[in-house]
Amino acid sequence: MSVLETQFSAQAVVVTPIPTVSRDRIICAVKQAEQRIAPLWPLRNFVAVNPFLGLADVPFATAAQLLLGRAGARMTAPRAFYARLISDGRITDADLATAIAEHSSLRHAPKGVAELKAFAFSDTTEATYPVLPTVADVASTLTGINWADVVTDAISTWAGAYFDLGQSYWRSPWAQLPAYAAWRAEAMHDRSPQVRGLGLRQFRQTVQEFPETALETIVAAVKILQIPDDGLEPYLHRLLITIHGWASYARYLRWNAELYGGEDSTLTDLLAIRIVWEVALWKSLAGKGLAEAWHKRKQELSDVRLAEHVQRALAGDILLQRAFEKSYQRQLFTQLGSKQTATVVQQRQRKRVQAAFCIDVRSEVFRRALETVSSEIETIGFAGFFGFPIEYVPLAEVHGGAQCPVLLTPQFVIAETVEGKPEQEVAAIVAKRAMNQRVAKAWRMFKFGPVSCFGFVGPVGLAYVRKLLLDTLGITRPVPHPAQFGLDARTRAHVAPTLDPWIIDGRTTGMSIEQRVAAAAGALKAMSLTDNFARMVLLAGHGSTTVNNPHATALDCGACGGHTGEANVRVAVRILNDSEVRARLCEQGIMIPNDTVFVAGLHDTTTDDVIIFDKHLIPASHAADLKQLEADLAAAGRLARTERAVLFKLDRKDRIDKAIRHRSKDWSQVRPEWGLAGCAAFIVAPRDHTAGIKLDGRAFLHSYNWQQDTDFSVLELIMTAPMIVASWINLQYYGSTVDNRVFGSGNKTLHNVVGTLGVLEGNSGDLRVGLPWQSVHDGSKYVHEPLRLHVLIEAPIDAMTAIIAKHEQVRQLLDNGWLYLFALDDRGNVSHKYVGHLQWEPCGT
Amino acid sequence: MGSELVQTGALLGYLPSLLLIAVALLAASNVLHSVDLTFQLGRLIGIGSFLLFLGIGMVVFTSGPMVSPIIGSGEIGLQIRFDALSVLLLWLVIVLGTLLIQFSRNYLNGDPRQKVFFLRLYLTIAAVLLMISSGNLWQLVLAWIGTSLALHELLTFYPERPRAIRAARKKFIVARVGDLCLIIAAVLLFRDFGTTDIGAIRDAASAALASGNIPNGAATAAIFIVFAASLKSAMFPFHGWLLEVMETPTPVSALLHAGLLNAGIFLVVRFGEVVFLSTPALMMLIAIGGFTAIFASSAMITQSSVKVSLAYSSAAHMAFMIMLCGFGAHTVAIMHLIAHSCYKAHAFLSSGSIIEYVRNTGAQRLDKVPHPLALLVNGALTVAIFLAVATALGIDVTKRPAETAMITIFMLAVAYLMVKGNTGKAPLYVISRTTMMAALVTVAFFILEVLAEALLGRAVAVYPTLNAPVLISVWTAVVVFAIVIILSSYLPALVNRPAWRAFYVHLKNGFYANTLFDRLIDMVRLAR
Repeated sequence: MSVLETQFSAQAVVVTPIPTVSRDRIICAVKQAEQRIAPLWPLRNFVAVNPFLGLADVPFATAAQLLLGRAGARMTAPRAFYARLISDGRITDADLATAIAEHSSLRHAPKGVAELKAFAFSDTTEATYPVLPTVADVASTLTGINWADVVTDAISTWAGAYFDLGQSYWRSPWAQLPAYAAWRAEAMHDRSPQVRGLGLRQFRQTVQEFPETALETIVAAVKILQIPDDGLEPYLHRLLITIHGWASYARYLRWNAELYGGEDSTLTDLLAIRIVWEVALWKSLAGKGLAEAWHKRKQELSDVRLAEHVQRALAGDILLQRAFEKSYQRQLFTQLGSKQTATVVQQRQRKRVQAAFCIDVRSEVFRRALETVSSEIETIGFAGFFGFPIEYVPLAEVHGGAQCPVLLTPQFVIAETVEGKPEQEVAAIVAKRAMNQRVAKAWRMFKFGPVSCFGFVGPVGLAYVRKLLLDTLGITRPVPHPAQFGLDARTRAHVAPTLDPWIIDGRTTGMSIEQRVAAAAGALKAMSLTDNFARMVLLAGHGSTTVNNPHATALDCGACGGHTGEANVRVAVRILNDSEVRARLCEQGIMIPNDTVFVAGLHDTTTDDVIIFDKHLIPASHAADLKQLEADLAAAGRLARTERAVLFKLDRKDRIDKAIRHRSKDWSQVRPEWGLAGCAAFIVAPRDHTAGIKLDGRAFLHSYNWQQDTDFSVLELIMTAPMIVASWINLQYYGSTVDNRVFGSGNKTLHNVVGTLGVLEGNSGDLRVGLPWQSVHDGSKYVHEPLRLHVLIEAPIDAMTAIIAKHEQVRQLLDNGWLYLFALDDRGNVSHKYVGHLQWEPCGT
Repeated sequence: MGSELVQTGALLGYLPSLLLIAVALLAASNVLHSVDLTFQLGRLIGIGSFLLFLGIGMVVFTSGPMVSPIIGSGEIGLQIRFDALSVLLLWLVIVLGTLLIQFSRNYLNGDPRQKVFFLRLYLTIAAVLLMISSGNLWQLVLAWIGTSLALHELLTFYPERPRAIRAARKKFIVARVGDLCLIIAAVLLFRDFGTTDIGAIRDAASAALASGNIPNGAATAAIFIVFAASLKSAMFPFHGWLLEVMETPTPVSALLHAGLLNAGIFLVVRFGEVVFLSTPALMMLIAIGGFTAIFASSAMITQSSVKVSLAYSSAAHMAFMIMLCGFGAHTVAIMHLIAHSCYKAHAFLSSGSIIEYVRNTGAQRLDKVPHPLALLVNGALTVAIFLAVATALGIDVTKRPAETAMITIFMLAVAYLMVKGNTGKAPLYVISRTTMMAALVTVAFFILEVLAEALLGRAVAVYPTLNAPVLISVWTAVVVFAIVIILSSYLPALVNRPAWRAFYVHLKNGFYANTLFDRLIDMVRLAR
């Protein structure tokens, strides 16, 4: 009990700053530590992020060591997983041998296949390694009170209120201040630390004594805590890991600010807040033995050598992971090699339909199905925004989401309108929607107001019986879909993007004719689609249909910045069908025949239905083509559902369609679809070389014809944008699988949405990052097996080497083993593999 | 009163609980191996039980209460009582329970312990059914404790989560103190009235109140009933555990907030006649309920996470019902209980939709402060709506003072809706929509009030003649509620004043009650 009663006296601890740690060193370490954190996008456009983004500069194995020490994280699956694969024969002795041979430099690694096998099957508990200590950790051990959790909870509760994007009505009165200033102001009133046992007024006094700026606070705190020079970056990184989720969100704020040329120091603010807690604990408990304990434990910060058995375990795990990847490679390469395509691409016959889909792995299943349905359909793979980076402003709103990969900024603002209505009528509809929103808001205030909530529930609550029943049956959604809210059915059918200039909140929207032509030319070239146009060209974006799913946008199109691709394809089609645009494209050498019609569609990845937009814009001459296309899409949808049903364990063949559609409307469904689970390869080649191969929805497919890419600018684009995005997605799934506690968001049934920006697992704790456990695991096995991305590109090796050399980011990812790169020859067979340092080795097939 | 056959027929009421327990035991002992079968059976029992209770309800509403013979000997044993109160609540629990079973099928799909989840869910539902249908003190006390123990197993469904264990431990402590209060109350009641039959106790209490000859023990029991109810229904400062039990799958939160939390209100209403015997008990209900209602509903709007915000909302609604019980408005309290349960079950199950909800209604931010004149006009308009509706429905709102007070509070709430919708240069469309909604809410309110009294009037004590101290408490509560409503309307203008900034921090932290509880628990743990 005495531990709790802390009578701190300022004299108890003599603070002697170590003169050797300079301010510059500390600031440098802060920057390094911050750089290690990967951004976290808010749930309203939850884009996949590589959780190891800040570690790309070190080799995979080093990162594994580092994260073990700082987060207690695993970078490979549990050993039993690999052992099972060895027993099943999926990992062969040859795979193990290759893995060992490749990693001859790994210290303490099991040597020889037999030893590695024995390691895999050893039932010794996985090596545990004490993570680097924080003062809070040491205090927890010392007092038996979990101060580490207390600190994380306190910061998380504060951060939830501070960053809230619209859940609480009474927001933090300091929300407009920078994070550190806001936190300081609030700490002056907050009695929690004191009530929890941190001494009378002690906490507030500590806070007050620190400088007002975050950076200076960190500098001062580091000196008080006497962090050794070489332990600085590890210590600060470790601190950020204790509030990993919120730090990641702050990193996102910085990412976004920098994308638009600004800067943001919220992350530094959070680090300062966290380190003030360290000092407060240290001061408060110094007299109780914390000073000595900390003095002793902090040495661990600079001593990064891992015990030999830990190193051995790490190395062994990495070898097993590598061997598993080898086994996947074998299978993939064999599949590719089995296909005999004619070397000479003959003058192809004009196809009935060209259908372009997103490179997303879910498209692979559908594309294969569509090609099976009709040989007259050619499919194309391209990033789902189809080269139109837009901000799409929904009706009655003033800002919209950026519908492009997060590496880019939107180039155009496109407004939504109601098509075919005179201007005044559109204005009336807009006004009505805004008023509907206002009424809904008043109702929400009534529902959630202090005292008024009683007046709501008494008379209205009973009506929820009906809602409970209808939602359970999947007849209604728990809340109306945002895209449909406040519009009547008739209006909804006519809502469409407009390219015409308009002014919304002082910003001009729309695209000029020059912009339209440039965008169209860029998009067609990037798609390798500049001649031989079919009569009908379908551009199919994609989106998911789920209800009651906080992570819904994680299932939407990453290339559209976590939105559906609807707006992009509708804009694209309006431009590509425009006769003036076509005339000007002609001048640039892109001849689109008069009888070619572009059609906008959306592939619903949950149900594998494809809907066609704007049918009224399709000329009557193409009515029959459209009808045929719709029939083909429906047939392909059935095939695709049958294939996906296997993963859902739906055995009743006759009920597959119904069961899958029901999943998309089921409010209790935690696995409405499998998303990009399984993703393992990224193939950049003409479709001819992969068509007909069952890739099981595990490959991103990007159509690319290097012969048409004279200056390799398209190749450069592919290797710096889609390849990076694919790798981000792949590593997000990888991380969420191998250690969901650190890189994933945990159990979906516990999710508690905070500030509309993220989820907590349960009632408190840190904000969670990454994917829910349910998104990668079906309860009995991984549906996403952890594999680093295998990139296969059909292009001259020299061209690729030049691009790798030019882009440091790409080079780091490749050289440090975060993804694998292979070259394909003209027959679509794997010819070379990239082995790092701009070197290639031939691959025998 | 029905024939003896009908009374024996009341024993059928044990069937749902027994079947649920049987399935749970079969599943636990692995005789029942398949998760799907465990689910199918549970759902089947749920639907069957609903039909059974529907039938029993028909009998009760046409020919009066059914009380089973005691299973046991003499005064010791279990007994079922079906009257309007228990039947309405049984309908509620079995409907929600069945929906939760259905929900949990896909929601927990793939969880290696889904079967365990189902069996714990079944046990909890069974215990709640038994508690509601209690005919005597034995069954009431046992089932009361049983619900809490079964719930504990659900709360610790993920035993590897330290926060789950900590929250469940808090709940456990509070619940055991509550159990003790109930046992004391039961003993006192038995001593004074010499029976464990709930119906007989209520009759005896009514008689005592009418005669003015109030036994001391019963009056003390009333106070312990209030204690037990306050602990069970998470009144301040014992609400902390409620904010933390989201460490278990969402359906459990739904069940807890829509079901088990209500036990406190059920207890007070069940023993309404006893509670009326004690002026301090009534005043405590008003004070504890009133304070917690205001505290929790205000803290709710400072919370940024959906489930914690809903938890505060639940505590607020429980408190409001407790307060209504202090007013003697038991029928309205039960009406509120049923409505709240349906609402809250839906709110929890649909909590994953909050992002879409916020997108539809716009981010919550402080709006404009209403002009004082707007406040007056909207207030007057609301009064007019209420009077018009009451007159149209032939209700005399001044008949019983406590009822008038209760109606005033609902009127204040509706006035808030009017103010929120109709200020800040609201277009005519918005004004007409808001006013129409306000009118509909008022109509619904009065209809439900009348309906509740018609259905429950005989099974539940209503509106006793209140003495001066209680009446003063009642009207004090109304005045405070009015002040809070006005302050919330003016909140946007207040939030940046220094005192209100400080108040925000204290309120957001729940006045530190939970933090203190954490510290005490640590102290106890370390002292051992």
